[in-house]
Amino acid sequence: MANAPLKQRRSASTDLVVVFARLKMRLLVNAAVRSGRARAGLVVLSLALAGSMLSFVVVVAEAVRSADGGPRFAVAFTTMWIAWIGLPFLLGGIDDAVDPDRLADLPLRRSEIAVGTLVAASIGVLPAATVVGLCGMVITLGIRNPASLGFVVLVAVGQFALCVVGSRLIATVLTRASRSRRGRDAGVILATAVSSGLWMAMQALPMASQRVRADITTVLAWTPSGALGLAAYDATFARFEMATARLLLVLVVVLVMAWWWTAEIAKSMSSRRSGATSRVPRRSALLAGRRNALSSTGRTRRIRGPINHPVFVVVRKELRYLLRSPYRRASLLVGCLFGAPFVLLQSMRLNAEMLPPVAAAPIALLFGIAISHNLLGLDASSLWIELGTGIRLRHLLLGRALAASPTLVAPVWVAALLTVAVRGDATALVPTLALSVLAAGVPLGVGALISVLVPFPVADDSSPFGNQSAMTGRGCLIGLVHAVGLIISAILLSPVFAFAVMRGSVDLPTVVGCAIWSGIVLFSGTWLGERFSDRRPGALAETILSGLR
Amino acid sequence: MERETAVRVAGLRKAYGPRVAVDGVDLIVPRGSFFGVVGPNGAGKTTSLRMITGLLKPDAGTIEIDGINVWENLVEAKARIGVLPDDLRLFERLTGAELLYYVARLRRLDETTARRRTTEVLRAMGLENEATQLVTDYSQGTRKKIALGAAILHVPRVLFLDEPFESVDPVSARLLQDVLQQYRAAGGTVVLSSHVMETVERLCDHVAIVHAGRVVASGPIEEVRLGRSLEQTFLDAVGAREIRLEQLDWLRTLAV
Repeated sequence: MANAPLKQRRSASTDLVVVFARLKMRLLVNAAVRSGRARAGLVVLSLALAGSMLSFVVVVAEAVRSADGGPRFAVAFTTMWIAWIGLPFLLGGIDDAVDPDRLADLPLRRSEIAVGTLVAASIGVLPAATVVGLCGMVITLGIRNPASLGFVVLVAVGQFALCVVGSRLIATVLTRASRSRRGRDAGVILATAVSSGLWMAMQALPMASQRVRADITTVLAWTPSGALGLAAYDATFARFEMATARLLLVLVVVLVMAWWWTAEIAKSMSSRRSGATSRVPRRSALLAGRRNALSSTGRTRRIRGPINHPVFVVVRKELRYLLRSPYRRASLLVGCLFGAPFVLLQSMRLNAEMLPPVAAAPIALLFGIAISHNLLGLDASSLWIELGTGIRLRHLLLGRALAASPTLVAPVWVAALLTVAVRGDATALVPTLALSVLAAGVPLGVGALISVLVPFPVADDSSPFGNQSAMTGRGCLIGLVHAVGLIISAILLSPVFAFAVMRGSVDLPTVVGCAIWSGIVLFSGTWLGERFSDRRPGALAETILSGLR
Repeated sequence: MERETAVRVAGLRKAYGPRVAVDGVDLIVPRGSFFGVVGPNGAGKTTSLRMITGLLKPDAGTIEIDGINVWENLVEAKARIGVLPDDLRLFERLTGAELLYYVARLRRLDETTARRRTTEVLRAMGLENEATQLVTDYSQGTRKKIALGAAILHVPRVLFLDEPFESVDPVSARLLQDVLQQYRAAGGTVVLSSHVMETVERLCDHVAIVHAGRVVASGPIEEVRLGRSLEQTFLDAVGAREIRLEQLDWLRTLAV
């Protein structure tokens, strides 16, 4: 009799789990049925994941044939885990998780929300692909040693749980952190540093000695996913004691992560600041001020002096936003943290005598492209205020392009300083820094034109951890246009770099030539941008704004 | 006395670093009342409502809804209230009908009741034609209507509405007001925040004026305004700032 309320609660909780599962499936179906973009994204994602999971099974099948295949198991399992942690940030718009924030006003216990959202997170394209990959592994290893089948199934379940819980934990922690400016920056720095470190490690691995590889395996064996991979490998060779120890270790880690995650959910649901999403942008005050100044004497008068030219007013305003806007700050940080090591590694490989600005500038484009190719789409909601001042689109584009230059230049500067630190030779530093600034005009000119041709509205308060257009049809199109823009920039920059390489140093003629060429491309890009907007910037602004709604 | 009180708030406080958003708010909301919370922008209305409804943890103070301490019995308290927050975070990729159904199910209503109430709410709100559209495609007014529908599905004892009529056209606003009046007539308690004094004056029988994180006046609306209009009372209470027109001298000089 005393157990009756307990039974009722259990039954209600089971019902809730079913509701969560149906809710997630409904969200998936609605996204696929009602949005062409989501359908395109689902197809692209499914194909990519099918290939990845096939590779996973092939790696496992190959590794189990050799006596020293353990490290490959560890790497395969760890790669799957990292994919689970990284992919959810790219899948916005296709495979939304059930966000605990949306459940905040409902009378649900912390455990119910945790279980429900965990079940929801286990439904989708990525989980389905993971199950297929893990089933492939179970069958492969089961055929090799039928006695280990039960244990391998446990490992597969453990890996799935590790992936789901780990991914939810990271997403919840980063989402909560991203509510404050410092937390957001810390999150960006952490995420970028980790991914940058992993990328550097992958680049360095082929060059590493056998001993270094063995050391990496030893380290991976102590990570949860690596330990699971080795547990599966050990079980196949009937080393069950060792395999059990590894599995228990992972179980403890999963439980700790689950506990931490539920605690984060509770904090997240009771710490959302009011008005966090409804701050009024104050960005156009400078332009408005200029507009007022125009009428300050009762007659419209022309403001004299270059500093008050509309281009520089836009530059001053945009530079403020470069630091204040979450999206742009994140891009700048990612550019420096990811771009700089990339450039540094290439320079070490080239083993060039001088600093490699030749390699640095175009590579830096990769990281600043999100801003320099989208000059009108960022903070688009108040674009109409600027256009309402009567500013020419050419001036607006030029101002925004100049203000975007730090996103292209900063990674090069960081790389140049790192190179100097590594090599202890600073002779080419100043010309290199100057060249990076001057060369930026070329990609910015190309970007100005692209910004008019393919404007891509991004909400100014959008999460730096979410990419709503990744893997969608539109996202693919934008990616293609950006790639073409990048190639055009590289082609346009090539004469300058060829000249610098021929002369063997970055000297004055190179710098002057670069400045002139860069200026021509920048002015041409903004001029063409105005021409292509059909001299109707209002219509262009409306197109961009409609994309934000 | 306890039975006559729907919401009791004492010493509520919240600070973000050095900035104190809510500084010792005390409120008593009588059961069955239509209670308006008014105040200038940044006064602390939304922050207070978020703390009262269990969405934001206070630094200090106690909150009781229907005699239940909110932050000690969060789940039980949330089961007794309905909330229409200022930032409507809804499941954007559900249709209106699906949203209502899943909210009802997550509030533990059984399948049949959830489906029946979903249909009835859609009809009452005049949303039959929008029922199969995704929430993301809704206008702001329609979003408010569907969110209000989701907030009343489980027949809450107290309904908290943060700026319910903002960005809502007059026809939709009227419909929302009719629904609220009906809910209140059935014994429900409504607490709403608003900037629109006329609306508060017309709908509410109790009012609290919040300024700089504190309640500067509270009680039955007639007692608070003392024969004046609510707007004048409000301006007197918060100290309306006079504009020195000479500062905007240039505004009178139009370009020829």
